Amino acid sequence: MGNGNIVGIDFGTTNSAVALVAGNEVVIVTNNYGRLTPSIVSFVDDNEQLIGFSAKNYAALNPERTIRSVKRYMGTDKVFKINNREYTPSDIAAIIIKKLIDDAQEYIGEKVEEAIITVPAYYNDIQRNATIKAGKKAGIKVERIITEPTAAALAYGFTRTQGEESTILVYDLGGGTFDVTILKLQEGFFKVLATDGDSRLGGDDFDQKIVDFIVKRFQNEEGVDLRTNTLAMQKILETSEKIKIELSDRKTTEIMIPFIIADSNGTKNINYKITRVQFEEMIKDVISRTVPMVFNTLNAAGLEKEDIDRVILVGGSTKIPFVQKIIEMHLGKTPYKNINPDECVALGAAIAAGIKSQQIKKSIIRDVLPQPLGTDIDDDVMDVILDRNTPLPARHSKIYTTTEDFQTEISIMIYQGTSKNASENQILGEYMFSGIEKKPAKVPSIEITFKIDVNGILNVSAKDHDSGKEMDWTVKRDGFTKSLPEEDNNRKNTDFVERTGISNNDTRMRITESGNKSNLSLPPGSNFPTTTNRELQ
Amino acid sequence: MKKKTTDNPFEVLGIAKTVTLKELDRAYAQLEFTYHPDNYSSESEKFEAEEMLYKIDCAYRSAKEIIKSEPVEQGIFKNILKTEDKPVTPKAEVVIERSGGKAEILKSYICEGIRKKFFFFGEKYPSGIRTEFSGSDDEVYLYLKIKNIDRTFFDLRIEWISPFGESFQYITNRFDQFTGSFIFYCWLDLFGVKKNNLYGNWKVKIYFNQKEKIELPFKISQ
Ligand SMILES: Nc1ncnc2c1ncn2[C@@H]1O[C@H](COP(=O)(O)OP(=O)(O)O)[C@@H](O)[C@H]1O
Ligand SMILES: [Mg+2]
Repeated sequence: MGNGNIVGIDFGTTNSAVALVAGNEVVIVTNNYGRLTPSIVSFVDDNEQLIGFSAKNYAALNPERTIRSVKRYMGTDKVFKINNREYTPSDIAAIIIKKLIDDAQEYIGEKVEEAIITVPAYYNDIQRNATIKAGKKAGIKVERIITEPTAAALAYGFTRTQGEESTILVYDLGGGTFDVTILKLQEGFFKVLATDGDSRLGGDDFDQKIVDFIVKRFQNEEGVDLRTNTLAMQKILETSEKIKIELSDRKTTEIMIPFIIADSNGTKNINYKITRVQFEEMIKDVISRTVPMVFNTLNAAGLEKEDIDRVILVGGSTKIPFVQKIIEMHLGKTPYKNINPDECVALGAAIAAGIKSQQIKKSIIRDVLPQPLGTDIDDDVMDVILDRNTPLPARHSKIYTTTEDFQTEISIMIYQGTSKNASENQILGEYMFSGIEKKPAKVPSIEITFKIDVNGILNVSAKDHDSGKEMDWTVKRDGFTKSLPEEDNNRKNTDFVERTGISNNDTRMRITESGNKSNLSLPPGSNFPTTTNRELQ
Repeated sequence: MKKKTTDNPFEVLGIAKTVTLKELDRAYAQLEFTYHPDNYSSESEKFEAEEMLYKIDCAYRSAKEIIKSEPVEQGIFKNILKTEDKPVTPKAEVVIERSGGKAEILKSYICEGIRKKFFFFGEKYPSGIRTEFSGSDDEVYLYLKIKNIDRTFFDLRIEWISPFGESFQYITNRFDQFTGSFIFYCWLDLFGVKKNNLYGNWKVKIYFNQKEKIELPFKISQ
């Protein structure tokens, strides 16, 4: 047990929140502005940054130096250049996390040393690690990463009467992301069955629909295209979000933007009426896109919609009545209302933190692999070794063979993602396996094993069944890793062979360094992905 | 921690072979919970639990397959092996597949009475339908796999009979020690089979110990 205080953090694309266990209760930390902190950083100058609500308010005056939605860029090599300084996505995330930690420290009047941070279920390994890194930069130890739907399920399970098992579906529609997850809850055991999502679908799309509506009408009525006017567009966007939120409570409202433009003919105002029905018509397409994903997830979990005991809504956008209606229509079940869609993720993270600090009775969480892990075979074909939705920890092996006669080395590239073309997926590492016994092509039998332990660390090993040679590697947690052959000379030699075509009687065949030919393939006959050998007796 | 030494999926899961999928899921969840490494504090216990968990996962997948699947055709080998007094296992599987262009399982037989020595349990040895194959339709080959048999047991010879009555006996075979299968290839392009002559009703004859023989019909469609 750690001695310091530990909190739960929902680091969101649009809003973040922090919660903790206080006595017998799990509470959201409030600050001067409220319970949520917009995930926005606005740089005033080198020494002053505004974070959260104050940044949101200041953003219009300082658009170039304001960063929103940094969560979208976690794990990418994007850089934000502000006042001649460069910031990585983790740096910006760290500023927001630091603010949350400060708020929590002020709230309890004690130091906070550790946190559990939530990430979207679809986040790949690199994105998860970028989040851990952000926590470290904010000066805390990230005790564990849990997924947002698991956190929501923990929050739900916490309030629920103990006892019987139930299956829940978590539908999370936030500012820019959509996630659906199915979990099974039992006394003390939370088991994720399947998860799916779209990282480019959410409330921002709804705002955009209203923006389009305004711009189009203004164009028709005034003959002016507002899209070239950045300041006007900024105002329209802000107003659109407010209008959208109003329409969750009201059937009709007015879009009012005074002095939207001023020119020699005077000033122009916007004053349009908009009804909820109109708005629903606009967003229908976007919401409909979530439905197939819900059913895919049910399918992946091997369930029918009737098997779902509870539908839990998470994320600000699920407050839209039409969203609730669509879900109810397709799942035949009224979503559960006694849980706050804005806060349950942070509360769930705090519960996980409470379990860690032993303030809350132990629960076991078994999560799943969000995106397939595999290697490339033949011509850039992604061959999956650990499929999506595999329960973690996990270990799985497959047998591969060589493509060239007397090949003694293969390069094993590790990819994560759903594309059939390996190179379109996220690369996690590249390793050279040498010491394969010289055999004609397709004869060697090389077993490649992927293992993910409880801490989410991926370990890759390879074994040639003929020579008995075995090697293993741990995939580093901060991005692409590569291990060259033991002696670097080998590699030079091989490069030479490749460039000149002279082989020096060297039987070692090409490695994939620069060629587009992979030298790993499935052996004929014993090659079959995803299914498991059946016991026949 | 109770360790399970058996490899039989149903024994690992502690359930009868007759359970429903729902009962299987319930038993599985219970074991996942019990053997989750987070339940243990010492490193060695955690390690043992993790290993057990992998075994349970694997058993679950196998058991699920078995419960879900219905044997395709049964009883073909029954009579042939009557004379054999070595111990036999009830079932082996013969799969005839094609590859190149369109890859698919053409026919799958469950054959009773083949002695099984090379039995492998677990995820290490995947099998099933190959869905992708980087070959063109011009390099189609058929292959027949006999899974779960003892390679010392048979003198096996395979004859492929095309829809036009041609017989092909050139065979490369390979014993795949990891899946415990005999694999027989039939490279049609080597035999000069024209693409259009490929489609129709085929037969594969399997000769055992030089005298016994079975015939398995299958069809290749366009
Ligand atoms: N009452 C409401 N009605 C409709 N949309 C809302 C409402 N409240 C918040 N939102 C929208 O929810 C989104 C933010 O949701 P949130 O769950 O905080 O996002 P994230 O998890 O992506 O950080 C924004 O697009 C916001 O406009
Ligand atoms: Mg969220």
